[in-house]
Amino acid sequence: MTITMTRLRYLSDVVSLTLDIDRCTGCRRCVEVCPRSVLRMEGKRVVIADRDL
Amino acid sequence: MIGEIETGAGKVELLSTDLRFRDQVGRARARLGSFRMRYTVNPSLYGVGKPDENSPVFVSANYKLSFDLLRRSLKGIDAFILVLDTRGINVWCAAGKGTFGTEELIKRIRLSGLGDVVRHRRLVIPQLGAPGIQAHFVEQVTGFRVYYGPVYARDIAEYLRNGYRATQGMRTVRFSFKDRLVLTPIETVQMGKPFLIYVLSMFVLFGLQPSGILFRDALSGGLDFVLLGAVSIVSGAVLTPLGLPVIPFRAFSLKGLVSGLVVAAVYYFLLIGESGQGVFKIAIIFMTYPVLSSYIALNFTGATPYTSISGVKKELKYALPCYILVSAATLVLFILHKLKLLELI
Repeated sequence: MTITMTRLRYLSDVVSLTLDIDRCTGCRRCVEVCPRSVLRMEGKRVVIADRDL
Repeated sequence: MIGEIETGAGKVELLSTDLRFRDQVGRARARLGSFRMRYTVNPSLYGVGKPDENSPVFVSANYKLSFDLLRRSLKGIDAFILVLDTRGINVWCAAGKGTFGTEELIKRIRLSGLGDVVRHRRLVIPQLGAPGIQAHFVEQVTGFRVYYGPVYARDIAEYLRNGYRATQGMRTVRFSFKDRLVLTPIETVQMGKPFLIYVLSMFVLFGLQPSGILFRDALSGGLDFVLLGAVSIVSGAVLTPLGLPVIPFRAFSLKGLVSGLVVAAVYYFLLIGESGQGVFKIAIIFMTYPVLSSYIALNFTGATPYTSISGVKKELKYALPCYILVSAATLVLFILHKLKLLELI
C-alpha cells in the first residue's frame, strides 16, 4: 500500500495560500486540479477545506 | 526520432515510445547529479504511433526526464506531444515559475501550426501544470480547450478510456516509498565532496603527532569519526526521506535529528561501547552527528511535494543558530579531544 499525501503533513499554519472569494465563478477548475484536495465546493462557491494539507 | 509524418502544418517528427539504453543512462545521470540541469529536449511538436488529425495532443515540458515518462506512457496510443520551452525544468516547478505558462503555450501552439495539424480543439495539459496556465484565456486566444490530464503519466491510457476524465486517485499526488527512494542518490552524492574534505581533515588532525604525521594514529583516532560522518550522511540523506511517515515530528530538522540520534546511539553502543573514549568524543558523537543528519534532512524539504518555503524559513529561524552554535562547539571539542589524546590536558 502506498502512503498517500494526506498522511504526510508539514508544519501547521505556515501556508501562504489565500482565496479571493469575490473572483470565484464556481467553475470548479481549482478543485479539479488541486493535487492535495485543499479546496472543495460549498454550494456554488469554493472554500478552503484544509489549509495545512 | 524514428520517422516523420506529413500533417496539415508540414512534417512532424515521430518518436519511439520505448526508452533506449542511452535514455536509461540519461535517467540515471539525471538522478545522480548536476546533469539533470542540462537534460533537455528541443521544444517542438512530436508524434507517437500513427497520429492523424483526430489524435489527442499532450503538452509537456522540455525536461527530458519528464518528457521520456510521457513518451513511454503513450505506448500503443497515437498522439501528438507539444513540448514547451521550460528551460529544462519539470512541469510542476516550471508552472510555479510561469515558464510552463499561458504565454509560452500560446506561442508554441502558433509556432507548431497545431490548429492545422489536428481538427479537434482539445489540449491535454498535465494536472500539475495547472498553476501556470490560464485555461480560459488559452481558449479565448487559440480556440483550444484545456483538459487536465492525470498527475502521473502512467494513468494516461485509462484517462483516455474514461473520455478525458481523471478519477480522484489520478488527481492526487502521492509521495510513496519508491518516489522517495529515487530521490536519495542525489542527496547522498551531493555530500561526496564535503565528506572527502572531512575525511582528510580527520586523518590530518589525528595523524598529527609531535614526531610527524603517523598513519597508525590517524586511523585509530580518526576512523570512528569518519564512519560516524558517513552513517550520519546516510541518516539525513536516505533514512530520513525513507522514514518520513514514521519518524516523529513534522519539522524536517527534527526528523533528521531524531534519525541521527538513533544512528549515533546504535553506532556508539555497538562499535564503541563504554570503553572510556573520553567525554569530548561522547559529546561529539551525540551532538555533532545528529545535527549533521538534521542539516541534511532539512535540505530534503526542497525535494518533497508537500513542504513550503514559508515553512522552511520558519524552521531555519531556530535551526540555523543551532547549526552555527554546534559547528563552533564541535571545533572546540575536537581540539580538546585531540589535546586529551596527546595527554596535554
